[in-house]
Amino acid sequence: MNNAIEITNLKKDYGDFSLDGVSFSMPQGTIMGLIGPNGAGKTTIIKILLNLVRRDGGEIRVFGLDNLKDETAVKSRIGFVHDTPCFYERLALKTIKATVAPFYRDWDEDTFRRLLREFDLPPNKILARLSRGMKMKFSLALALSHRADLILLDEPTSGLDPVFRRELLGRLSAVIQDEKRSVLFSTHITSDLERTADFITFLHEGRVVFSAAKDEILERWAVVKGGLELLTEDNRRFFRGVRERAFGFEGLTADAAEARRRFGPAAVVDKASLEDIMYYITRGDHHA
Amino acid sequence: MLKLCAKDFLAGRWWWLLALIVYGLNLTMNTAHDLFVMVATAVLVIACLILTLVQDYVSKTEALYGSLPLTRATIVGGRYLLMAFLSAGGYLVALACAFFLKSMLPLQPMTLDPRPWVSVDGLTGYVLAMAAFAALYLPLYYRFGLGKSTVAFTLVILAMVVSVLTFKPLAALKSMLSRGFEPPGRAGDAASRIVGAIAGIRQALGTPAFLAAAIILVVLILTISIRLSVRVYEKSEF
Repeated sequence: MNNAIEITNLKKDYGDFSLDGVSFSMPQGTIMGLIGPNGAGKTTIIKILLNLVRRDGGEIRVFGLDNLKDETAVKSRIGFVHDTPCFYERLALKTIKATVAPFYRDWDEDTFRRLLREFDLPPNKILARLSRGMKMKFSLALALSHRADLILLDEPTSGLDPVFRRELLGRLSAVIQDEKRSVLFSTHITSDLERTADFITFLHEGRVVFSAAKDEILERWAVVKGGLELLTEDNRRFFRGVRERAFGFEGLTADAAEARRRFGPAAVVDKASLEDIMYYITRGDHHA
Repeated sequence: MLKLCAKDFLAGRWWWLLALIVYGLNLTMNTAHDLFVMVATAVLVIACLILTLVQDYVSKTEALYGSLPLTRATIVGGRYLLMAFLSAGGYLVALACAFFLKSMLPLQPMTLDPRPWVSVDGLTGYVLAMAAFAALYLPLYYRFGLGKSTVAFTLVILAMVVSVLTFKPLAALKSMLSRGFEPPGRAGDAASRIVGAIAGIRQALGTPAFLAAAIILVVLILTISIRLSVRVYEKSEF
């Protein structure tokens, strides 16, 4: 399968934060969730991909093209939604569209109008008068109206209320599934990805913790719950993160089958959600 | 780059109109000084450019347009092209206003005479001045951002004016300019004198050599300026 994105040994040093040899790839036609806590480096990767931020090292290929050498060719195939909408605030939506559309050879005016209708966005409305959620929808309409092969979504649901978030995700998911596009979706709200993502890349402190198929992750990773007597030094090392309580412990492991063998009926082995994984790795007592 | 200019037009058009109205009102109140018209026109052009950049700054649109299928060099080039369009527009507006005021207010004691501006010498002087402004301002803008660059640019222009008025080797220019501020009816035709000085250079060099030198100078300062701006802007992060 060809890759939509191939990132190899990506480095960026800000002094107090750095991306440290980030590598992952995303197959074409799939949806990848880029997850991690705030400050993990998700937005930085997306910005480097769009050449909004300079990299200190590494390589990025989008549909086989170098994102710097073939910058315009790469960007013409990308639709993007930034975490903060950055349009001219005092312009009407149709005017903002007129400032963006001419730069895309494959701009599809019919699609844009249809999406505005679907999203209940009046074309004559001034952007400043829209709520954050409406601005995000408008941003999404622009991103989806030039037949982009790759959609980059940087925290599109952050700061939205649950109702609006669910509606936006529903719209997004419907549009994406219709069009068979590749999507890189960065978020720290892992529940957004439980249904939609095919692959998950988890970033923490500028490093890739894992990058794999979502089903494989949810199959392999587990939360083990048991009494404190089970928490021997050897078992402690077995866990990627541990939380101790007064009457027992919870530990995250990347090997559910081994956990079942190791603890048997003495412990409860539950499938880990993406949120569990993120929590234990970022906040739990670390091992392995 | 034309698309970028169209984008800037859509973003800044109402602000440009406001600047134009202020310019027109100022002109009707200062018809006695053609030097004022020259300065006001330069201010109008630079103000329109800065008002456009203000829209980008306020709405933080650089991340958006930096994400479009454009290189940084193209974005920078678009700004210089915009300055060229604004300069051309400013020139036409100045001529239109001057001829209009002269025809509508014939009884007012005014020295406003736009005819020299239409000459090769007037046009050359204008193009050189606008190219110099763009060449100076835009690298500062890309290096220091909107606020600092505008302050720095204003200070540089002020420093140039002060040096003209105080530096001895520039005494001839000083006396020529100072006559422009004398009361109407005496010697308020500084613009004509400046154009006349340029005409003197043209006559000394010969018209073809003069035009070639002017074109080379404009191309040279803009090339250096654009390269500088691109180099700085390529390092910018949004």
